[in-house]
Amino acid sequence: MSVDALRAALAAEHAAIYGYGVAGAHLTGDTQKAARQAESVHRERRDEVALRIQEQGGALVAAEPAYALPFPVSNDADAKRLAARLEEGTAGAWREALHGTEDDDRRLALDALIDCAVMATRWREAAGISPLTVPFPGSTP
Amino acid sequence: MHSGTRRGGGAGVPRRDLLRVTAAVVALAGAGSAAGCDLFGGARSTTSEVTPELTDLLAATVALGAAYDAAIARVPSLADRLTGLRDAHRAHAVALAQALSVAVPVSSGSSLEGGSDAPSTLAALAGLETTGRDAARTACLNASPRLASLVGDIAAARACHLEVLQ
Repeated sequence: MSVDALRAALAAEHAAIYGYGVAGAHLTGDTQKAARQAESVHRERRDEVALRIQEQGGALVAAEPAYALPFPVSNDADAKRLAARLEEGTAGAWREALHGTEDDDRRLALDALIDCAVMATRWREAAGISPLTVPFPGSTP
Repeated sequence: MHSGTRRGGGAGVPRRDLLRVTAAVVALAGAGSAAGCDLFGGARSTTSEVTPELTDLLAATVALGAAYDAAIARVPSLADRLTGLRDAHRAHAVALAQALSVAVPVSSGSSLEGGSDAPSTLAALAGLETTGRDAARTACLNASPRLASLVGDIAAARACHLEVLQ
């Protein structure tokens, strides 16, 4: 069960990394730097969860060559909204991983959920999205 | 065509939808929790799930909501900033009580520290949120599989509240 939960989270991390590549291309200055840092965090988390899966004898989920975006991204405002959606999406994936994991794997999932939720809040603020927070950040539709 | 994929433009490359990826994640994980539901689909708590740690978390969640009421009463100009956060704590209390199959405890009032100005009121709330986040995080790590997602979401929400209070 733990491997299945982690594999699903790995798939979401692949998608987020792809999405940040798109978002970063439309950002400049400090926001682009923030996007690059966030992408780096997702890459590190991807590597960590992939290692956990392999250690438990599971098969890795490969990244797709490309992902369809939830909306067209052609400028700074779109890119910030996309970044918020990416973090909301990965927060949801890690939330769902919580009940399929225990011990160190649950700790990984929980820390990822919290980090993604906080990053979503920051991107929502940068994008001017209101409200900044939602009651259940891992359950954002 | 595989469900959840579609063909990209000229390249003809399968493009998995970013949001569908996460929807599939939810469906996959949700299947594992079905065993905890009763005949009519409602989640039941078991005696072993309702730990003192979780009942304490519920009481503290109610108290957090009350602390925001006290803060808004003390500094009404903060109402716009704080009302949504207060409502989130109330939503957490309702969800947690439902998951534990218990009633939402009645608030015993709040002892919000800090002065009467906005900065010290926000600092006092931030202190409560930090403590609350850490308590929810620990409770999530100890919770049953059925309750872990909800309690983890509560911990995440409290971490987000700190962003707003800074």
